[in-house]
Order: sequence, then structure tokens, then C-alpha cells
Amino acid sequence: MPRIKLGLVREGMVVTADVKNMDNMLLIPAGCVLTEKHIHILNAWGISEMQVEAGASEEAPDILQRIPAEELEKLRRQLTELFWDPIDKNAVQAETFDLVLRRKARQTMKGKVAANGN
Amino acid sequence: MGISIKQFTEGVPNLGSYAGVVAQIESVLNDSHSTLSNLGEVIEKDPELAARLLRLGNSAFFGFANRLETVSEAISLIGIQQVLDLLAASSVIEAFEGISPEYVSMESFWKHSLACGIGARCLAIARQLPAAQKFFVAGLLHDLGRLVVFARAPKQAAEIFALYRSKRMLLREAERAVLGFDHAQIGEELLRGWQYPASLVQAVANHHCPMAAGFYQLESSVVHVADYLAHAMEMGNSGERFIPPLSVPAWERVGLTVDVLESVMESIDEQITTVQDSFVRASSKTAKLSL
Repeated sequence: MPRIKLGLVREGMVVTADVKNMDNMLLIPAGCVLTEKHIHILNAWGISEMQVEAGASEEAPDILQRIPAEELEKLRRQLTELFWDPIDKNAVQAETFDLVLRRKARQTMKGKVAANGN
Repeated sequence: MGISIKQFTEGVPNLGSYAGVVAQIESVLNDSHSTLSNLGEVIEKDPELAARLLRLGNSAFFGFANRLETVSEAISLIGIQQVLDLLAASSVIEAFEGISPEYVSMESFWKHSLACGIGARCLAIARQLPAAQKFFVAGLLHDLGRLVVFARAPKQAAEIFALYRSKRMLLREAERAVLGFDHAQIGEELLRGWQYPASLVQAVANHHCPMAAGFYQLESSVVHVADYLAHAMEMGNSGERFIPPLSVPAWERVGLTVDVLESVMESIDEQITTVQDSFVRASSKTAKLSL
């Protein structure tokens, strides 16, 4: 189930895991369909992210498809060289590699947007 | 060779829970008549410390969303032991501020260490382990031994880096080849001397070989995984240029599924700036270590 930032939470999304505050008090139970009032409550308690039903969030196109292929290849090569062990040595490493590659791709694209804005 | 672990750590002042204001806090805690507001008063005597505690308390790190206004509130919500741990950790960072190692910037060193601390704390929370703050401190101090090598043994540090750069090897292997031991063992000796709890000492000592940590395998494994993630995210640098190997048994010992990795990384990205601001900002009146 995806965890998404509060800023992306919208009315009508379905909560898939109980949302609790720091004192473990239940704020919104799993299964609840979010209303504007719920979103106010989440803001008031400083909840920064939560789990909602897959597909309910407005998913952006995959970052690995948005970044130019040659840049992606360059990032992939740079990262592969940094890992001491082969990337596919185990499932955790493969998942970590995928996540940090996406993170680097997002940073690269963000840099491009900022540069274009100047 | 020629220099022992003891020689590295001898003469490094005690920075553990007994430094400066922390010692005063402990004396308040040891007084059975003391209250939260007494403790708050001690911290408030040091405005920078108080500001730092409130800044951290109100940051995404704790998630109280700007609701903390006084030091006493912070202590009651964060918890006395956690506040003590954070203050002790912050005094270690301050004490090492006066040094300028040649091989890594202090900013980069602490960024890596703080990222590891945040990651370790998130993993501990995800695993519902008690005293998650302890994992933050263990992560924060995991490479402290390396800093001691840089600061106290520049000649050996130069040898270590010359060897390290000459072939594909991990920095800790170069440390062992030159010194006969590595930074994790120096950190262990240092923290043991400062009478840190055994779980913290062992987590630091075994962060590269968590399954050798006996009773403290879980603590060591959490720090090991967090260190790996901080390296993979290229968050700062403690001298090592590679993302070190991940121990699969350690990952299994942590006992979480791979979906947790994304949220841990997001938390590190989200919290690193505030945590850096809260910790790596020395008070000018803090005595610097003469290493």
C-alpha cells in the first residue's frame, strides 16, 4: 500500500491503515473515506503522511520514463559503481538500488526545472 | 601498527552523559524532589540548548507540529531519557567541532552520521522497538572512531588513505591493514569508557558485522541497515566511497519487509535539514576537544 504525503491526500480517498497520533490515539480508522473534515484533523495533528488505497492517489507518470534515456543510463552507471556488491546480489539491495535511482532521477529532473526557470 | 586502540582513546575527555549541562541535568534527576520544571530550568539556563531542543521537538523528527512552547513541555512529551540522549549526542558533535580532518569535511561526516541516526530510529519505530531514540544515538555515533583516527593519528590516516586509494577496497579494510583494527573497535572503546549502555556500545562496535553482536544483534542490525541506506542515498560521507555490503542475515534480523525502505528514505530526506540545524550548530561557549 502506498504511503503518501498529506499534501497529496484528497477527499474521497480510502484510508488503508489506522491513522494515530503520537500518543497512539486513533484519529481515523482504516477503511474510512476521507472528507474535508478528516483532512483538517490530519493537519491539526501534524500527521505528515498516511496510507491510502492504491490507485486512489493521483499518480504521476513514472520518473524513470520521464527522464531522458541517456541521463538515466548515466545515473544507473554511476550508482552501480558505488555499490560494493553486485546490484542483484539480494532482493533488498535490488530494491534499494531502484529507490535511490528514482531519487537521483527526481533530483536531476528537479534541477532541470529549476535551471529552466532561471 | 605500533599504536593501540587504548592509545587512540586515552585522553579523549569524557563526553558521554556527564558533560556540561548534561551533568547538571543528571544531578537534578538524581534529586528525588526534582520535577519536570526543575529540569526545564536547568536546560533553560542555556538558551541555545533550550532553543535547539524546542526546534527539534517541533520538527518533523518528532512530529509535534509546532505545539511545543516550553522546555518542560518538550521534556514531558519527548521523555527525560530521550532528552538526555539527545543532549549527550549533541555535546559529542560540539566537542568534535574544533577539528578539521583532511579527508572528509565535518559537515559531510555529521550529515552521514545524522542520516544513519534518523534511519535507525525510523527502522526501530517501524519494528515497534522500545526507546527508538537510543537507535538515533547509536546511528549518530557509529563512525565516531573514524573521526578519532583522523584527528589523533594523521600519519596513520594518510597511510590508510594512500592504501585505500591504491586499489578497490573498503576503507575499514584499509584501517585494519594499517592499524590492525578498525574505526568500529575504536568507537567501541571510546563509548565503553564513557559508560554508555552496552546496547549502544555493541551497536557501534558491530555495525559492520551485526551478527557477531551476540545479545545485541538486533540493535547492531538496525544500525547496519541504516548505515547502508545512508550510504546508498549518498547522504554526506564519512570517508568511505563505496556503498558497503548489506548483510542479509542482519536485514532478516531487523524483521521488516522491503516496502519499509521507501518510507525510511523519505523520512531521512524530510528530517535531515532540521536535525542538522538542531545538532550541528555549536554553541560558541562550548569547550572544544583538544585531540
